[in-house]
Amino acid sequence: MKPDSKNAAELERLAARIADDEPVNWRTLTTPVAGSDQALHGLREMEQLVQGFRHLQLGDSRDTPRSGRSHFGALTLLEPLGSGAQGDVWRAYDPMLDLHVALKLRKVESGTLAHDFLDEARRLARVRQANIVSVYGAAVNEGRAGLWTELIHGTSLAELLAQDGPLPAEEVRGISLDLCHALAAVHRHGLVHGDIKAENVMREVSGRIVLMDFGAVRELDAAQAAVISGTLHYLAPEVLSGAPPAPARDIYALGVLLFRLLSGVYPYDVKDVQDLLRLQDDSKRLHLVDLKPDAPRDLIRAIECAFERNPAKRHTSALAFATALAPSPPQAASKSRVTSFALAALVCLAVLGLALGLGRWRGAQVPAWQADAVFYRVDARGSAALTDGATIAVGDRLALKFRSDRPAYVYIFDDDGSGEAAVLFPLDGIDPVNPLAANTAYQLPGKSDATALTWQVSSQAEREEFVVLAADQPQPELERTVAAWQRAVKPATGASRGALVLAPGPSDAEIASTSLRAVLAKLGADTTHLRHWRFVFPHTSR
Amino acid sequence: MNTSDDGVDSTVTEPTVTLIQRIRAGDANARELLLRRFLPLLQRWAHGRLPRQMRDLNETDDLVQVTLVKALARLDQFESAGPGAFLAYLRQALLNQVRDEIRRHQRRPEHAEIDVELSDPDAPALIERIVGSERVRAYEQALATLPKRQQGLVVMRVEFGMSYPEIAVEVGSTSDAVRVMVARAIVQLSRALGGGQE
Repeated sequence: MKPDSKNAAELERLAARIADDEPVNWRTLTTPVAGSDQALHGLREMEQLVQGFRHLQLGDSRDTPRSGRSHFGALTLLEPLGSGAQGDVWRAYDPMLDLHVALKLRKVESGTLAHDFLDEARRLARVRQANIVSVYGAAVNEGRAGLWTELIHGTSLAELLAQDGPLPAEEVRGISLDLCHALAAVHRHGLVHGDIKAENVMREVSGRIVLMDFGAVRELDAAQAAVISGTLHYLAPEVLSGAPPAPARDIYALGVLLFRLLSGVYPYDVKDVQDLLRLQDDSKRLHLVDLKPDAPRDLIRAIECAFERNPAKRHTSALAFATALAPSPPQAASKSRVTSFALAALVCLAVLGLALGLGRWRGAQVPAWQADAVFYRVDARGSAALTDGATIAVGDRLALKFRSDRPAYVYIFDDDGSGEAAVLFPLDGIDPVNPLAANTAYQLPGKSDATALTWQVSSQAEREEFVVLAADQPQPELERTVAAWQRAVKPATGASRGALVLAPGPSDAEIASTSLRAVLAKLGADTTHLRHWRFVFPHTSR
Repeated sequence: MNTSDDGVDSTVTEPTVTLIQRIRAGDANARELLLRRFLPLLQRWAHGRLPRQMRDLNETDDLVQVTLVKALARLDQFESAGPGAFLAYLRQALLNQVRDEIRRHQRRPEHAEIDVELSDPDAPALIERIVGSERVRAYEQALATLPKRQQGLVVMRVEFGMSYPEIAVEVGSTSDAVRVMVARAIVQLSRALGGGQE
C-alpha cells in the first residue's frame, strides 16, 4: 500500500471507531498517520462532539423507563460513578429538569446524620458561581438522604496530572484564576471549603474548571474548632493546632494544589500528621524556582505566597490572590506592558503588612515615596482608625485619610467580590480633585458645597474590600476608564446593592470587578510611580 | 403500533424518498408514517439543541411538531439532493426555528426570581454545555462545507444516533457500505474542522 492510501485507511479506521463510540488511544498512534495532523486534530474534536451527542441520546431514557432500575424519588439511578467516605455517587436522570445529574446518596454506615448530610446541600446551594458545582436538590427518601448536583463531564485535575504530568504555566494560571474566583464566592458566603485538592477540581470537556465536593465545608463562625478534615498535603499548619476554620486555610490548600499542577510534586514531603507537625519552618520545602526555572516569576511568587506557613503572610483573600495571578498582556504588542512580577510582589508586600514603599523595595534605583492611606470610622464623637481586618456594620460612615510627600493622583475602588466594583473616588462635583497636593492631609471622599462627606455602609454583606491606588503622574487610561464607568451607571443603582453609598447625596458607580482587575494589572507596569493599598473589612451585625 | 421504544420505527423498510413521493401523490398513510418516523428522532435531537430555559418538554415537543408539520406542508418546495437529505433539511428547519425561539425568549421578561439562572438568555444549549459552544460552532461550519449527501450521513449517525441498518434503508445501501461512507464523511469533516483550528 502507498503511504497516502495507508494514511487514508488509518484515518477511516479511527473515524469509524469514533462514529461507533469506541475508545481511541491517541497516544499509541504510529507513523502511518504522520502528516495528517490537520485531520487528526479534527478527529479528536469529532471524538468530543460524538461523545456529547451520544450523551444526549442516552439522556433521553425518560421515554423508555426500563424496569429494574432503582429510583430515588423522581430520579432514576443509571450507573455508579464513585464512592466517598460519606456516600456513593450515581449518575442519575432527573425527569423534571430533563438532565443527567450526579446524585450523592448518604452511606448508612457513614455515621453522618442525614441532617448533617443535607447541610452540605444547603451550604452549597447558597453559593452560585460559574466555577462551583450547582446544586439542584436534596431530599430524604425512604430513610436515605441524597443530594443531586449538575453532572460534570470531564476529568479531575488529579487524573489530568496522572495522565499528562505537570501543566504548562499559562494553563495553571488560568485554572488558578478560576479557582480564586470560586473560593472568593465561597468565602463571601461565610464558608470555608476545607478540602481543596486536585481530586476535587474537575476540568469539563468544554474547559470550564469546577470546584466540587463540599462535604468538608465549614461555617466561618463555627463555635468550636472543626474536626480536622482534608487531605494531609493540603492541610495548613494552623489547622493542626486547632485554629477555627478561616479562608486562609483554603488559600493555603489552593497554593499547594497550584504548586503541584505546575511541578507535579507537593511542596512538603509529608507522610503522616507527625511529619506535618514537625514542619515548623520553610527550610525543608521544595521551591518552584528550582523545579520550574522557566515558569513566570510572578506566577511562582503568587503561588508560594499562598502557602506561607504563617497565615498572616498569605494573600489576604482569594481576590487578592487572583490579583497577584492576573495575567500580563502579550509582551511584544502592548505599549503598556505589564511587569506582572512587580504586581504580584506588590500584592504580597501589602499582605505582609510592610509599610514599605515600592521604591524602597526596589532598592537604590528609585527614590522612596512616602504615602499613607488609612481608613477611619467617623461618628459624632470623632474618628477611629480601622486596621485591615477590622469589622464594620450597616450605618457606619467611613473616610480615608491620605497624605503623600509628592503630588498624587488618587483612585479608590470598592471591590466586594460580587462581580461588581464601585468607583468611590474621584467623583464629579466633589472637592478635592486629582492631583492631591503634596504634604497635605486629605480626608476623602472630600466635600460637596462645604459639607464634609463620608461613605456610608448601606446594607449587609459579608465584607468590603477597598483598593486605593496613588500615582505620581497622570493616569490618562485609568481616568478614561473611571469616567466611562461613572457615565455608564445611573445613580440609583448604588443604593440597591450591599455596598457603600455616599452619604449624603449621590452614589458610586458600579463596574465589573474583572475590569477593575484588568486595569490594575495594566498599571502594574508602572511600579515606580504607583502605590497600592488593599483593605478588607468584614461586616458584623452590630 | 409498530414503533419500538428506542425512538426509530423498527419496521422501517421504505426510504424517506419513497415516502415523500407517496405523500406528494396524496397518500395520507405515508404522511403519517413519515411523521411517526421523524418526530421522536427530532424531538430527542431538539432537547440537546435548545438552551436551558427552553427545555420545557412540552414546549420543545410542540416546536418540533410544528416545524415538522410545516415542512410536510411545504413538501413541494423540497428538492431532494440525495438520500438522507430530507432529514438534513428538517434539521436545518428546526435549527432556524430554535434560533427564532431563542430570540423571542430573550425579549421575554424574566419570570420568578428562583428561575434567574434558568431564564438566563445566554444559557447554552445542553450540547454546548457538554462540549463547549466554540466546538459546536466550529462543527456547524465544517459540516456546511461537506456535500449534502455526506452531511446527511454525519447528521444521521452522529446527531440522531441512527444505527447503520437504519441509515442503510435511508440511503438504499447495505450496513457495511454505510459504515465506510460514514467514516469517510467524518474524515472529510475532520479535515475541515482541523483546518479551522490551525
